[in-house]
Amino acid sequence: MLMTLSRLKNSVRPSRLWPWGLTLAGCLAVAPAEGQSFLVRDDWTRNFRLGLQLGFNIHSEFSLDGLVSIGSADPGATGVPGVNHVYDDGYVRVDNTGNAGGVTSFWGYDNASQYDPVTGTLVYKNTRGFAAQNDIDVDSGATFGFELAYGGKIYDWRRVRLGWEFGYGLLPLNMEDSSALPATFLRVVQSFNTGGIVLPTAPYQGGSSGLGPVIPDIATGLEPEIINGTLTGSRELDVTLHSFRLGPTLFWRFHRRWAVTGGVGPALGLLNGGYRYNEVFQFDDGTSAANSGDFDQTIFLFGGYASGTVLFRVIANADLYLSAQFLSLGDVQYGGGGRRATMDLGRTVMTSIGINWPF
Amino acid sequence: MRNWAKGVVCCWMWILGGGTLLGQSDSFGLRFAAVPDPAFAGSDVNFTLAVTNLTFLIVNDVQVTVFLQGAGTFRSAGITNGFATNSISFNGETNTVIFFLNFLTNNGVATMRYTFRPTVFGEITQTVFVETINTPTQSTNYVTEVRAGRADLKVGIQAVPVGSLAGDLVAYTLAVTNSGPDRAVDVRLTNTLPAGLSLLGVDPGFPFNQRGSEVVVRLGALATNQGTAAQLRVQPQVSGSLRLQASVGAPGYDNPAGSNRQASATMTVATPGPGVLTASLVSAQQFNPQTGLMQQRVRVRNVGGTGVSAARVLVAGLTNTLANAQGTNGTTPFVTLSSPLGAGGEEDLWLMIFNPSRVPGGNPAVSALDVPLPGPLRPYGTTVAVGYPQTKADGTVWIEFPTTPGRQYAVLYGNDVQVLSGIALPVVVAPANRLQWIDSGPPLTSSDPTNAVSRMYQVIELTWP
Repeated sequence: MLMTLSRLKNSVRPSRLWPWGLTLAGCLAVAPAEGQSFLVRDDWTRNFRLGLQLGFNIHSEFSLDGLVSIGSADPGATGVPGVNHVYDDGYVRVDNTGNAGGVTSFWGYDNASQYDPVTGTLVYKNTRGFAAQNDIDVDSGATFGFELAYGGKIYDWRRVRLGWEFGYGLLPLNMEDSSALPATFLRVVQSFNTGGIVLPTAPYQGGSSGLGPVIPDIATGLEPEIINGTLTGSRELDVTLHSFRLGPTLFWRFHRRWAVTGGVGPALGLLNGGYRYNEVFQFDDGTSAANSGDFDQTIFLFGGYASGTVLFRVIANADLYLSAQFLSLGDVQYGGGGRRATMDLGRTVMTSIGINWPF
Repeated sequence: MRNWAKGVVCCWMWILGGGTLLGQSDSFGLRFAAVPDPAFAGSDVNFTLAVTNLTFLIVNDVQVTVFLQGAGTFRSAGITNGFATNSISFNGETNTVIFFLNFLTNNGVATMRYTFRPTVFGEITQTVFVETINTPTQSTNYVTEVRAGRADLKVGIQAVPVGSLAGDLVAYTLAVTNSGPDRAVDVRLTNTLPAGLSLLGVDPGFPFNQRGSEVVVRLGALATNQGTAAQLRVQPQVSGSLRLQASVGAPGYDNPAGSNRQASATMTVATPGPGVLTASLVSAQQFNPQTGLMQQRVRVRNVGGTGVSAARVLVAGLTNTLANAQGTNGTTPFVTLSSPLGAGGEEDLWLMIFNPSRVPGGNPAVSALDVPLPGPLRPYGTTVAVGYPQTKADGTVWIEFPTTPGRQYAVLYGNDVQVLSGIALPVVVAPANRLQWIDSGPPLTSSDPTNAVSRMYQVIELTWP
């Protein structure tokens, strides 16, 4: 390395292209690089760079189409003892005695309106699905990540060098649809006889110990209910894009401090994360229920990239760089059960700025 | 005076004195003082050493060496008409302070001052050597006590059971406070058990050891103005007055005299009274869906010639838990009628049994004893807001309140807002987020609420015990 530095020092060449970087160079209070050659064969042969990356032009389309099923807790079978029943507005579960005597202490209810004193029954509801129409496009805006790259030389002549570069980028992406939507909900309705006890005031959450007020544990199925309401809350895509690229580069040092490089090649994308929803059903009868879940998966994508980079030599073995990259990895789709989110990664633009170490 | 001149004077004095000072027993008088005495770990202690020349002569080049042993940091040393040096041993436990004095006139006094900051409680041992030419080396030892700090630890005996019988499983509380000014480390509560009282355990999980009748409970550290309490579970084996004694302290701490470092109380263990009582089951076990418990009625009858102040019903032979047990004697749970029962009188009490099968089990064997009226217990805790009590058609009174599952709740009751009757036993562990508490009379409360002129309730979420 000492020999290389010595060689650089003895080969100074002027350039007519110096005004290109004059402004930036003037802003940087760094040591001058006087005495350096800008014949690339006199330059370093490999480089490593690390930088902050911004991703743009990433879109997702969130859609709800037709009947959306809900993976909420199981309301349980009707007409049989000793099974767990979980509802939007309470539960009747199996207690530590195994519901000895056909009753359980492990029950609860949320609202006084669930109790019918005339029939002495508690009515519970469990939302199984809803119908809503939604098709909304969400832009990710500018998203911060980082990139690193490693490259080397294949051939050089005068100020130009043919090389190769392997790059990795990490870009967290979060896009959310929190629009409130009109929806029609389907609810399973079941009732329980309370056995004549005086109910504790709602909301009541009984325990599993077997102590406290007990109610019979056999559910009676009632007519399912269709009710209008509003779907609130959020649906989001929360993923991390890992991009890998490998391709040839063409490097041109047009000034002793300034150089540009460009590259094209294939790219591989790895997406971690998924579609998450955290919703609240606001029913028109004034009640509400929460619904949350996710579709997580790991997806591989294939495509290509093209990039261009401007480098400014700060000291003998360090450059500042500014890069732009077009990455095309295609579309990726998440969802199921009437939910869908499509992320468009076909026209992703990334810019990055950072430090390049030639060596 | 120049050194050569002092030497001439000294030599002249030596000749006048017979040519030798050897053999004199006390060439120097030593006075030692430590301020403060005792010293405190973490604070400076100032030592003063006054050396008086008793040789009748002027002595030159007096060297006073102090070997100071004790964990801590040497701070400073000084002497007039001389100089001082300090060195520390390899293990850091001995500081050697050497004072050099150019000369000391007859009866002259040299005062040396040095400061030390001990780091742990215990002792500082100092050996002082006074040496000079022609005098035998004189040495003296001084010991200064080092206290860990100043704490004002107090103990009180609380919740001593009243009306218990020999064999009952009972408990009392030892409450300890530290009024400062320092945080006390390793607070130890010493409890002396009287003969006839067996220790069953210490709550809530304090480490303890028992040697004979002495039980030492390690309470840990107590900050200034902080308190804690330990509950001792005991079983009296005999009846009579049992004197409970407790003391508190922390090794190395200065606990000022006059504070309540010691406490004593008397636990009176009764013998069953002369009343002749019978107990009999008057109903079958029946499941109550409101409580999840099997309930069974037992009737206590006073068949003797005199009234009794309270009656205890022992419930033996149960294979399930007596959920409303108010105590246990040996292994037999019991409930108590906490009201007088005149000669020929009778009273019904509910037995509440938790049977996981929710079907009637075998009937227990019940018996009754004439016992003293149990003393009212006042729990420690926070008051819980309670809805207005509701009187039901069957004469019971219901109250309902919010709870935290697993926490303990006590209901106090009485004729007025002072709820002087104390706790309606047993204390309830909340099984849900709300609790329906039903006053159905004995044994939960002293009488059927329909017979009470008025009845007030207060709910406490227990913080102790």
